[in-house]
Amino acid sequence: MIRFILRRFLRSIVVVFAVATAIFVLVRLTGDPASVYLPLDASPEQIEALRADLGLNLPWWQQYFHYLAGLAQGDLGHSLIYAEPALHTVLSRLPATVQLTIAGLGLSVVIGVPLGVLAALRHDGKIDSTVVSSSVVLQNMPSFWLGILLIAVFSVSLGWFPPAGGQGLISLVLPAATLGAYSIAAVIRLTRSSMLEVLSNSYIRTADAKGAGTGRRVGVHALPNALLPVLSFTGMQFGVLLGGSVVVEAVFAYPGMGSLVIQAVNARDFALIQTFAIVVAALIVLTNVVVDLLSAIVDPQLRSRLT
Amino acid sequence: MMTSNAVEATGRRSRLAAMPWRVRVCVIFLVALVVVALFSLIVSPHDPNAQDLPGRLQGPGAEHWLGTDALGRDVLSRVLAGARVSLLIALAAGGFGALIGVTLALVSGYFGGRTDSIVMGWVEAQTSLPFIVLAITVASILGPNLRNLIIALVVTGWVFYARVVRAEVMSVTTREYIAAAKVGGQTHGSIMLREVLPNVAGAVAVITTQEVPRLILTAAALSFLGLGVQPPTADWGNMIAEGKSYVVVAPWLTLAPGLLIVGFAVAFSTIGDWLRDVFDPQSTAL
Repeated sequence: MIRFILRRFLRSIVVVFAVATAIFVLVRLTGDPASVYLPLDASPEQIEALRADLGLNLPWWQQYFHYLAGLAQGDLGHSLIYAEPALHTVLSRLPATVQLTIAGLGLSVVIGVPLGVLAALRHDGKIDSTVVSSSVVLQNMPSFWLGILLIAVFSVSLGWFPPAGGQGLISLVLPAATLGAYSIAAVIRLTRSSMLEVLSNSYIRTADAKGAGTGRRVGVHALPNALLPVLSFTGMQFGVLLGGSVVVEAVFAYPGMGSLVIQAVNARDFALIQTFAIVVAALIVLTNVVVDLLSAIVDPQLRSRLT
Repeated sequence: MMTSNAVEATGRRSRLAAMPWRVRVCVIFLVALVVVALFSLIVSPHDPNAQDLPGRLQGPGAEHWLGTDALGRDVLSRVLAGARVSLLIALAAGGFGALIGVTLALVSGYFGGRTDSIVMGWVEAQTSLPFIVLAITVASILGPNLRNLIIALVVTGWVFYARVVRAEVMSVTTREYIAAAKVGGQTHGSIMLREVLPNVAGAVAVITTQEVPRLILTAAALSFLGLGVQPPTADWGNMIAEGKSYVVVAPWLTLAPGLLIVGFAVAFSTIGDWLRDVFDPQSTAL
């Protein structure tokens, strides 16, 4: 078990390292890194200062070494707009984004699981086909478009929710619903197919034969088994939602990492964008390790294979 | 071996022929969209970029079927021009992504060993980063325009082909007819192209139908964020960004491109879900 944890942990570090390396290579492939890290109207002095800072006159392997040494110490460059270490700026926005992501994930489980179970129990009926086809539509809806429509209907026309984020829990509702829309649909479809599979198992027939009622058959015998894949899927969705939050935050002017990145994109503050990508990668691989561990704890079959 | 393959193929053919009506509707919708978008190159109702400031923000009517935008441009013409951009993105990004992904999957799955662990290690590292984050990073390094948008989508998209197709290649490679081809003295390259590739074509088709909606949605999101197709070139994503401020007074600006994105993506996924059932009846829907 400990070897498993160590191995997963080591792999996470390799992934973060690979992402950082890919950025390093890409930036240098485009020609002059100074032009990527600086705005178009940068003064010659600024360019010289950055060249010295990044060591652009050194051979590439020395640059790479400096870059990795910086990464190991948490130095990912300076933000142009905020004139402070980029890591500091990104981390200060992290809690808001994590809050939004967790709210979106929460919604996808709270709404997705019951609807998926309902569809499975009414398999091939009207409810089933309605739930399935609406989840296909929901999965293929651009989140920024959905967000704009939700704002138009629920904040501008009905006035139920504030149109922008960052004003307490109530202002989290629309962004979380927008962000979670895709996962809600995915959780519905996964829960449904997982339930259908479990319900066709022989132990469910046995429970039936023993005279267990529908409630007991579904709640005690089927649901816990059907939820296993849903759980690990939800964990994996964390990363997807974290990425999706960029777009959703842009629509709702939500004060998280996503809005920061959009700001950085418009100001060509590449140190911020690069830091964001590395922080997201680190967060995601960490979550994946946790999800793996949790599924190993919950699923006895997997646990015995690991030890 | 051959007989079971033949049975598999006939079963597949009859399942392909029995296309359910909702899949037919999706195919018709997509074909119609492509035909209209291409035809509008010759006979466009209006010039998609012609401004008419006095006639701005008109609602849908006889002259402008889908109304006009804040600069008085015809929304229908712009939506159709946007459809051409989306089709180009889907074709180019999907095509190059498939080419790179399938090639690496063939090499990786066929030879296995160290090649395989390097390619798959890369794939795993890249899939741990959300598609959109990687696309934003690449697009902002390269600079915002249509060509770089397509490059960003190819760089991020090939891994999905590589992952799924490699698994297929590995299972095909263990079949007897591959061993027979090896004994028969065929070169590795010819075995990969003539024996393995045709047998994984179904998987490639299924991934393409799942990949295209994602490409369209991501491209639209990047254009919406200002990292993709730049105005005044019409694109569904930047049209929604431009219409955003007018969503209450002129909802058609937001609804027209948005509904087309949804229609396009839903049609593709519906066909994809059905194709997956045809090629792999055991797999469960996600």
